[in-house]
Amino acid sequence: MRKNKFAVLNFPGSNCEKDCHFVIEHILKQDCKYIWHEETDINNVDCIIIPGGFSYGDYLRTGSIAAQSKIAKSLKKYSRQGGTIIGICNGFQILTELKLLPGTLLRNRSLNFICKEVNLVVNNKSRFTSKYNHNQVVKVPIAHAEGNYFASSTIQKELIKNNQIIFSYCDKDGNINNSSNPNGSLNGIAGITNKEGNVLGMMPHPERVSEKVFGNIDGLGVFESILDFHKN
Amino acid sequence: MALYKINLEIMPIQSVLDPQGEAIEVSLKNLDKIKASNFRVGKRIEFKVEAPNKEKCKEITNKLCKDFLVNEVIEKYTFTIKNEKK
Repeated sequence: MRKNKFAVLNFPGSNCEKDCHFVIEHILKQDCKYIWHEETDINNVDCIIIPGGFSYGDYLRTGSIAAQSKIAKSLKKYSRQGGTIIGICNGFQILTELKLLPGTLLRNRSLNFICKEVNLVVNNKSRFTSKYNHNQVVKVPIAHAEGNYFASSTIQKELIKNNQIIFSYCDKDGNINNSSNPNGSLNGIAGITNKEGNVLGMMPHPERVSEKVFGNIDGLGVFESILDFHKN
Repeated sequence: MALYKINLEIMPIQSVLDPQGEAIEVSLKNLDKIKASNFRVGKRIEFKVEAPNKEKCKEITNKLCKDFLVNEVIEKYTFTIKNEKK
């Protein structure tokens, strides 16, 4: 069977790129390469991963300087052509700054950097989550200071109408409420896609729970779903 | 071409939580007899723009703000333009 070709973008300050690369190459046994932010060629790639970290030291606004890098133009073109893009944590912030996803990520409600496992309820109607059951509750870690999703009320309505909310923070039974919301995100939003469904941004880190040795493989379904999508 | 000095002021919009402003307000409890409230913390960016005239400079600055320096989902901005000797 043909191997999928993944690419992990790399910016100065990215720090989760190796975790993503490891999952793709060693767990999923697919091809994976790094793309440095000064490159412009992203042809012949099935899926782009924008990893977590602190690109450009989070200067100006998180993700804003990465969104001006050389690779940005190619990334927008890749997205317009329907290419699969997943942005994790800082990757999500970069995607909103690129305007490939609506809204933005504010400072956490508590003002603290939060690093812990959270429960997420999954909407499986996307190319990134088809391997999960609908409304399945999974446990995935978050590690961020700016993960508080915010958007205008018009965008909120659009997100709901177009079924773009893919991951929501919830309690262990799948209830979305204030106490299960770690960072103050609007409606407990943890991950969204664009309207076309080919771009996903999520604050939790599925790549950190994709290997049995960690005692939890709840995140693996994201990468398996992408593989499944490209198989079809 | 003339050189213009821009003073850009960026503020969080009213409907957005401003944690820095809130933190300042909370810490004021420790200062006796000072009644101050409604703190909002923004940022100021200074830079220079080369343009044929002030109108064009305004246009360039607005584009720069909208494309890069300001996130209008959560921020609003104002700026002043001053002539600089080149």
